[in-house]
Amino acid sequence: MRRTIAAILAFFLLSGISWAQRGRSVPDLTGFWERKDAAGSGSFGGIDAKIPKAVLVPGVQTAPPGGPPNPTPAGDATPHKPGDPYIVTNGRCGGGMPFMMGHSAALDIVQTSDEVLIIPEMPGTRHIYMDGRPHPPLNVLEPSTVGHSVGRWEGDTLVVDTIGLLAGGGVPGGGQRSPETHLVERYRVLDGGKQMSVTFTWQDPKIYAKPHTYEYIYYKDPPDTYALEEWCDSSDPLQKQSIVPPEQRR
Amino acid sequence: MKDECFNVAYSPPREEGWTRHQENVAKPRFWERTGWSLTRKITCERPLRLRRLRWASPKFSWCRSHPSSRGGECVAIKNVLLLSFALVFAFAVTSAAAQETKPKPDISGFWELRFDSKNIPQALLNSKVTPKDLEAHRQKDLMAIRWCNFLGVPALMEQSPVDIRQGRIEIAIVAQPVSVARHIYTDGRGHVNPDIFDPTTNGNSIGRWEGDTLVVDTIGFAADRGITSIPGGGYKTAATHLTERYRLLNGGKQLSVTFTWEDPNVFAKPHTYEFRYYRADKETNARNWSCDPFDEDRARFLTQSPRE
Repeated sequence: MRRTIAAILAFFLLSGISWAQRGRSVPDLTGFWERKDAAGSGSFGGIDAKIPKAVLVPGVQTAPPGGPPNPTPAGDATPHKPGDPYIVTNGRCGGGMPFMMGHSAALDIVQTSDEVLIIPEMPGTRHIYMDGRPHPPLNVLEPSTVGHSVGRWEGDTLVVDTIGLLAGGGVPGGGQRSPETHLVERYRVLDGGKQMSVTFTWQDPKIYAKPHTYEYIYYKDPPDTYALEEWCDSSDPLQKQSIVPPEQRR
Repeated sequence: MKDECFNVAYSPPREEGWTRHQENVAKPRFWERTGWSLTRKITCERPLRLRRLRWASPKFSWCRSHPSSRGGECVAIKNVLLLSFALVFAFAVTSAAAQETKPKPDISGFWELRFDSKNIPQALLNSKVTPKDLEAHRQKDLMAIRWCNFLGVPALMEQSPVDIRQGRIEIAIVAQPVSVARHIYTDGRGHVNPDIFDPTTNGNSIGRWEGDTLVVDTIGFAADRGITSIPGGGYKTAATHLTERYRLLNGGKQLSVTFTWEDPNVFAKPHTYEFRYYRADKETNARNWSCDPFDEDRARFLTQSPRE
């Protein structure tokens, strides 16, 4: 009888080991995710207002928050007052970082062991390399709208480090970015996979007096969600648009 | 005794040249044919017959009854058998589970086109397609490039390298120039209802595996967006149907993709061509080509005749 019990225990032990090896995995971020403001903000400006203000190095100009990476002429650092028109897009298409992560359109995450793709509904897919490679040296890395990203898992958290972003503004909270700037993102699945928290931390001793951190919450879309295409044509005069901020109701 | 032992039911593998009809005729001894000596040791020259095992009994019948068996040996044998059963059962269970997720070819990676990568025959076009139509599409494509419009399929697939990532529910294909990534859904869903689908430059793609071949079916192309010309002749319309077949070649070093375009408004018969991509270095980093539609010098270069 003891031998039988030993055999049964051996079976469960072996099965357990086998299943553990098969099931030993990292959280699955696969799917479409939408950033939502569950509490409600009333406007784009309201969403931005919830982001902590970046503490910048003295002399560094505060960039206007939000918007595409190239929405406003350089030097437009004044807050947008109700009734004052300002340019929201100068006709150039494309999103890039960090605009795409705050966009209302769903982000599609395709996760493999070597690479994670974050795909917006516009050009500018992010490639996050998970194979342990380092960043290329900055002197050979061509800055781009999405930069160069490497990722690793720290327990249940995907930690992504990005450099090589084009210089400019557009950082929520009024920050700037340059190719040397490090953006560290931490992705965590919440609520049994229904939500995803991403904290963004911008680090650059030439720009930020201290790391600038904020968090977005994304909500998982149904499994049959499919990607749309956010068509944009720079030859269309309507692509150049201004906006007039309305008075806010409190 | 040894001869008796081997006169019991035994079904040798067919590759040994024996059939069930020969079970009881003279045949070489088991260990002479197989080199095994285990039977001699554990059964005292009696072949192993699992159906004789009585699990409810404190001892197996053949251990108890056989005069030459010894108690210690039987205990050791039982332990070995029990553990073997446990191993086999555990292996069977996990193998069955593994079968549920039978691995498919993994086409993930960066794939590049080389000088010998394309085999594009001339398309046989519908007689209604006129040279004027073709020229209009050529001019439109030129403007799409000039204004940094999304490339879309098939132009996206002509870029090098393309990054293909095979995820759990979809396969994504990403090119470096200005273009939205392709989404090929492989979770068994059908096409989005055309009544509600807003046509796109890449269309709506679903994929399935037929053995080692990924078959991708695409409809829902936007006829008025991006680059619409098709390699070999013809162009996309709202009625165009594309079927692609992806196969790994040469031990995974190459990826063959055959493209078959069907559209009764454009083609007289299905138009098929093949690209063979080469697997790029594993350390390849994607580049993100910028495109400035308001760069006047670039615009002149693309739209005016070159100066001598």
